[in-house]
Amino acid sequence: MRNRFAELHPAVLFLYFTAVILFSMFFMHPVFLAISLFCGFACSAALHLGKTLRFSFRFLLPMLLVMTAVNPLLNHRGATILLYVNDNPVTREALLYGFSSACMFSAVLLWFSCWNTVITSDKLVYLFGSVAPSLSLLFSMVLRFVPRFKAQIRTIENAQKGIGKGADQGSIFIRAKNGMNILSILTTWALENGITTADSMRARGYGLAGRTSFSIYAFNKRDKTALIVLIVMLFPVFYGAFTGENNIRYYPSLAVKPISFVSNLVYAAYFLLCAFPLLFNAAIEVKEHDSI
Amino acid sequence: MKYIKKALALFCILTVLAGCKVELPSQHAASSAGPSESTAPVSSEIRSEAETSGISGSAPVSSAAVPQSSPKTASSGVSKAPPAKKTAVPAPQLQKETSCTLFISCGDILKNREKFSEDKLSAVPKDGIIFAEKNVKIKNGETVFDVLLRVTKADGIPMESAVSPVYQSTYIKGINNIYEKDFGASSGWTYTVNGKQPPVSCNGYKLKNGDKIQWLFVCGG
Repeated sequence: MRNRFAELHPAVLFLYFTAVILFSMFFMHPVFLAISLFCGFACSAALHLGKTLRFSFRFLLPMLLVMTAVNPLLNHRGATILLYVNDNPVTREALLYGFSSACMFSAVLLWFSCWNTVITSDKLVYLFGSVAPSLSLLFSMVLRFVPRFKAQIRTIENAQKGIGKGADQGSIFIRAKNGMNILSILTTWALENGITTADSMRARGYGLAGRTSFSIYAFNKRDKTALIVLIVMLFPVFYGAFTGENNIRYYPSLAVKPISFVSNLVYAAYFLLCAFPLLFNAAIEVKEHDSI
Repeated sequence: MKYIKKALALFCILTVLAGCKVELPSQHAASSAGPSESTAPVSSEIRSEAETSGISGSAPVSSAAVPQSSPKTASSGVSKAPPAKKTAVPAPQLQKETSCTLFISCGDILKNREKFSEDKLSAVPKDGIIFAEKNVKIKNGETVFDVLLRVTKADGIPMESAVSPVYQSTYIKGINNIYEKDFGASSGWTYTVNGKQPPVSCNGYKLKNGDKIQWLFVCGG
């Protein structure tokens, strides 16, 4: 199935992900957190189901448990005492705060995994290539940094293993030495590769005025509609943020703004915003199905 | 190799767990630990007694105003002033009961309360008194910290302390969710005994009979 959302204009995608990731980071209200976490998971699963499930159960869930358990042991604020550990109180508020911050962290990680799949480095360079050429090149290189290094270190390790110098061959000292050697090869390769890339980009006139991009994205009618819908949904969320609908006090005791009609509207707008990729895909599917 | 690593990890976890002392809050504490009641200067039971005897709840309840100690508070380790008939018995040497008075207040915050946000002030009692002056029984050799810990635990007042291992000294970070640095950069908890600030940490000061401990939150400069 084609992901219609990912085919939108890079500017719309960039606006969308920046807004959603920033909102997820700063809104610690449980309703907002739940919406963001749920939609982040759903969007990530729509993009790559297997990877999302593996990531969630292998990394996010254990992290959630550990953060929930560790926060009350380090932070003793809060009015409701559950028990005393080493004469310091373990409080319900600290437990809840640990859980919420773990949820926030998971949601942001899930949204970033969507970002990485949807906004590829060529889209970033297309967006910022003429405004800030060196910055956008650096940014796209940095984003590729970890996966690329991982692939390269595997190649180097295999080659070293072939001549009996792998990081798991020999005694502990020899293994340490071989490991250091592999890292040294990787560093050399990285420096050389950086220079080569920079030279190559310069030779092709990167950053000059009037240069065209590899990918060309037209801002068509569909992008326009998506952008307008996004901006319309951003307004109530910003309104909620300014009137304090997203505020929560964890210490010394929990305090939230009471739920009212307005806050329900803000929650609905935030849900629509977070579920936008899924709704957009569904809408396009329905439309194309009808036209056939 | 694998087994050694696993055994080592298990050993480390067990040592850490063994070093932890886990306790449940006492029943009395649980009843008054709720956020709405945590701001009350005295435990609910004493307050109701004070109200019936015509004293307003906001006024500091002195030990003399409470006619007799209820069995519940006595069991929690906090004893109020001995009843009148007991003091009438002229035999102080026979039953030499060592006790001191304890008083916890953050009244300094209230002097400039308009400087602070409502969220911060939510933990501060209306009259600034977290624990009204009361007589507390002490055992031989108990320190100021021991008394504070026992009383706050019994009354369900949240109290956080930190030990610096090098000096073997205990520092009080916060009482009743009023923490150091919450109300100004140099604010924090200090204590006085008989009106003077001892030059030692609170776990280094051994108490004598009749000492007056005051825990005061100061806002500093």
